[in-house]
Amino acid sequence: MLKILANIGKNLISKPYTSNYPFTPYQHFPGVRADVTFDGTKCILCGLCQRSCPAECILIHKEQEQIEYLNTQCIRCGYCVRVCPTNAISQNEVYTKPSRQRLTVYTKVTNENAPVIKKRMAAEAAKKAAAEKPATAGTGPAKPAGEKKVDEKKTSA
Amino acid sequence: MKTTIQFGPQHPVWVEPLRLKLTMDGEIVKDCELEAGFCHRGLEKKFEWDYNKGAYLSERICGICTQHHSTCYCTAVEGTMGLEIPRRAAVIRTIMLELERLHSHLLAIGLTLESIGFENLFMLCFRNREIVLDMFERTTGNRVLHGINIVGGVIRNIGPEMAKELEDFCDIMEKRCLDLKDMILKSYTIRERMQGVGVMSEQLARDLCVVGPVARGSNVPYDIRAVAPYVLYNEIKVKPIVETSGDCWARSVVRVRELFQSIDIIRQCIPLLADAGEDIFAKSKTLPEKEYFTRVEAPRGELFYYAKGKKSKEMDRIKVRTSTYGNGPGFVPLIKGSHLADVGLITITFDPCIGCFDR
Ligand code: SF4
Ligand code: SF4
Repeated sequence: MLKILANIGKNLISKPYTSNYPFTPYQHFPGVRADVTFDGTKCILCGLCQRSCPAECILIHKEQEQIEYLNTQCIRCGYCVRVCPTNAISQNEVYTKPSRQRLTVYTKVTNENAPVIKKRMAAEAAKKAAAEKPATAGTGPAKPAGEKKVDEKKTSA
Repeated sequence: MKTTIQFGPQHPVWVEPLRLKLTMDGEIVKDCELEAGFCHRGLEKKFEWDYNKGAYLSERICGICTQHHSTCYCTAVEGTMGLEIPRRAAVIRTIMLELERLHSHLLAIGLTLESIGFENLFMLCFRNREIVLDMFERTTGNRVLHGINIVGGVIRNIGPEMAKELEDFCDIMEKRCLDLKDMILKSYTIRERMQGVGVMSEQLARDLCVVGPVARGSNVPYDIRAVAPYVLYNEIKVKPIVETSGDCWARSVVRVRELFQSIDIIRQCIPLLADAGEDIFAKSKTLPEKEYFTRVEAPRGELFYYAKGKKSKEMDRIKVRTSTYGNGPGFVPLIKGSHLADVGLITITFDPCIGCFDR
């Protein structure tokens, strides 16, 4: 009985154990694993993250040169951060708030070293050159110069 | 007159779906039929993919013993490819396994107390469990599904600072668990309610091959950590905790006593971190066409994984036998002949995890 009284007294003067949630936000620890962010300037569109993601929430669109990331589908495992060869993925340390939207994030890739982008830029340059050529050298067979170059390289190699 | 009562699949005692079809004669259960499979997810088929992703998938079999599942899976796959994990990874895995046993047992004790209407102590158990979860968030970055194991080792290190925090945590936890133990073991009400209810004799336990705290509560000293040591348990000796009476009380007392055993093992592991080398990860190889199986002592009992590779990145077959699957047949003989009011208590002292049961 005395023990109960002592406990009641202790509980009356002690602070509540639970936190006052909406007013004092939850403080999480450093190193918490939350959603991931893609760095468009580093990514080379290799597609490794898409293949290794267990939740299948990364979609690499090579033609549009962008990464589609389905935030609500991600399980925050951090495996994509491990496999990325260029360290283009980083994991945030703040939880995503509950949301009504799907929170799909599109990241445009601007890295010029990405093979897909290199190819496109080469093709564009070739087109440009081909467009300029007829203007300077008159009418000719409309064969892109870039392709020719590639062919030459291939044969020489 | 006989009445048939459907106990479940939706019942407040279990969070998960399990159905018991009880044939009653007044208050006494005459016959019982167990029906499971309400949350079958076909995970074993899904395992036939990239073995690196499998570690994350195996965590999702059970929401409570995630670390045990992924450790068992990783050990099985590592055994298939003959890979030796670095010592530091083994130490970290052991610490995590024991932390998880702590929080799982606290949950099981809390739920048992809640099923007999002792909500206050249930809250206290969950308050203590909360600091274990905080420790998980501190060390692995996630509270429940840790995602720290991959084939070949672990992905997060425990540095000296974190080791210090773990030591402090052990001190706090031990104090709180002692409080809890005093409250539970000295309580006249709890003892009277649980003693003599759902008695599983030693012979019955051996016949049904039950595992984990259920077996140890019936005087069967069967603990995989002692019988077939895995990760670091051949260095850290574990003595199975055994109770003799085999009733609901004995099963709960085994869990309470195992809390201290877990804290003790964590304490023994922390000094090993200092001279365990820096490597936490060994590069994995391609899978050969071999097979392997592992057993791990999960909080609920023996957990079994069978792995078979097929000379590619994908697994050929994974078979999971979870602990509740081993304990499930034990429900029926105990429920037969008991009161209706005891059915919930008897099943909950088995600590059933239906997510594991059905997979
Ligand atoms: S984010 Fe990394 S892994 Fe993914 S496509 Fe880009 S470079 Fe490859
Ligand atoms: S954190 Fe995991 S689930 Fe999320 S995108 Fe990366 S690999 Fe996929």
